Amino acid sequence: MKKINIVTGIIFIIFSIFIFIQAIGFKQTLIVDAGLGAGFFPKLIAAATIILSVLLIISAVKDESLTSKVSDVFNSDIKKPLLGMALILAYGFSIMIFGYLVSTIVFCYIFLQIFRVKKLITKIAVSVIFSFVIYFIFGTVFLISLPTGLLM
Amino acid sequence: MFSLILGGFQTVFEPSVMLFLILGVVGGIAIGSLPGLTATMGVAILLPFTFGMEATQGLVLLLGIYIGAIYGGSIAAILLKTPGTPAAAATVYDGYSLVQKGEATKALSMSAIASFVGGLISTIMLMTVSPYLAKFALRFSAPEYFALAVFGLTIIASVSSKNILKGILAGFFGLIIATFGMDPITSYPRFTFGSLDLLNGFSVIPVLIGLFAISEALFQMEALGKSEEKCEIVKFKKEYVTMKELIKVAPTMIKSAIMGTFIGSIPGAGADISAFVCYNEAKRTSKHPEKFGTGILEGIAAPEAGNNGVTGGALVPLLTLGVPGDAVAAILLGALVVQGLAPGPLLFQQNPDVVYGLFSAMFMGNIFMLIFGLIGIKLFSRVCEIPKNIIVPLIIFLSVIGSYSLNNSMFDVFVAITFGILGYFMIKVGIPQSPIVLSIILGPMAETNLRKSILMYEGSYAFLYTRPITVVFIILAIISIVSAYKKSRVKVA
Repeated sequence: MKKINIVTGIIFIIFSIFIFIQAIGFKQTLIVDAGLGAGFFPKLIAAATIILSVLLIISAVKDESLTSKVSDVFNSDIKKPLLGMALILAYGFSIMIFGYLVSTIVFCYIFLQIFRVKKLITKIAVSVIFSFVIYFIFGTVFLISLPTGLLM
Repeated sequence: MFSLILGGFQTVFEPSVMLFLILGVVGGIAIGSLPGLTATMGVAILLPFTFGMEATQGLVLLLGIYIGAIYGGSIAAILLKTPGTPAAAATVYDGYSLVQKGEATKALSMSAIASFVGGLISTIMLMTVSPYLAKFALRFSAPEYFALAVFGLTIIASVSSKNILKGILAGFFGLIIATFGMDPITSYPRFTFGSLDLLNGFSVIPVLIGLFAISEALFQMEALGKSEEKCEIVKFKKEYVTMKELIKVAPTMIKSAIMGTFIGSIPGAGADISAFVCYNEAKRTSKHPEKFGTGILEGIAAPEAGNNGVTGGALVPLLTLGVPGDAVAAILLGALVVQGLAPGPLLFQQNPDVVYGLFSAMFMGNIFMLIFGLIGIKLFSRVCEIPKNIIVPLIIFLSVIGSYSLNNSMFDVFVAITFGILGYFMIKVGIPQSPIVLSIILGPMAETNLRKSILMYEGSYAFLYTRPITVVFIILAIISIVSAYKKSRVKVA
């Protein structure tokens, strides 16, 4: 029976405490700006975020109708996006190892396969043509040096 | 001023600039009419294509997409009962009812004309108001800018979410993210964890590509491959809206356009809010409010004039103060900065050619939107046939190359991916994304100017109550928070 707003509040509190503790560690530099220093603003914001998160949790505890259950929001629908996240991350690392063009063609094909594009010819055509067009526009027209990877 | 406007039109009538404007408008309408692709996402993923262009070409392309996409959203809203962009959600009620009566062409032409009127009136207001506002803003010094940033932040937080606490939380999260990197006053490295890439903090562009494009693509994946989405369009008559009907709805259109411009000029309040406010206002003041929702033209004219009215309004604070009026304006800010232009009052003095070029582009963009909106009704109504399971992966690949190309940096790609994943979970728990991006822009402005002010006043906070403009902004900030809080109380009770 966990409520989504309570969990959200707790995550924000943990994050803000981490930021606050980090900001305490900032050393005062030679430039003195009225005693404020680099840590002043982050500490202020982090403290405010903690207060807001507590308010969010209190409002969720007080009136349960304001928030939905965690299990309702994160149901089995989330499987595909999770797979998508893993693939995007893998794609990022793949660019660094195998270079831009190869990775884009391969991962474009994988994405189309997973999302059930049926015709083989569509999958191959889209992934190859799209990758080459982007490679051409950015690499040749805009003169951006795209990653070639470690192997080249 | 007249010669400047004339010069602006000369810029836009250059063939290469004109081409990009038309390309932007047509592309924008197509993006807008695809459910799931919003105006913000369209501008975000196409922004990187403008890095290699001349300043005017690139900006004109983005403006065209913005104008086109806000109108395009209504095509899907009317024909498919699914708003193509959140801004078109209010158009669904009367638009789809008209389609069921076989009057799709009438509904779509009404929407195109209302969008045009909205865009045009707001552009005229932008052209007349902003030079004066910019002149006025020249008097601003650090305390005024601090107060302005605070005012902007409070508005953003209070209008952007159903749950005001979540809206404010999103804003504060953005502020924390904004402090990463070197401290603007003392250059002390903050939260860099020894990483050189983090020394300059997170670049805004990868963050917003992540939050607006990747997260939305991930969200769309939920429904992909589940059930084949229907894209069946009912057959419709080829009857456009008549002159008589137009004259009848003209007052509604004009009123909504003006309201839309004002709403757009408030930081944080964008086209989606404007459309609903204008729809409700038209309904409230109508002689026959019970007919709204049954397919009357006012029900399309009001939200469509209202949401396109935002386009000009959102540029007012962006160009004059450097404060974006909505999420798309935040991306345009990024585009200006990449081109080496700093939005703000000085832009009017240093680059009047760019400013007036933008004004003229807005003007012409709206005319093109009307033309292509009317002749392309049949064509754009078929956009939804493009399969989503191909579009969604392409959004991801465009996002990755886009975030890479800003600094030729893989670090930025991973920043975009991280914020994309974060953004997806935020959509799930109901935390709005636009306050995050706007705070990342306003945060450094608030912090630097606060600390500069305290330095100016030698450690005293007197600037908060001794400078009239500052006092006005602070009072406005307090009012916006109090009224939002009261409104949320009413809702609960």
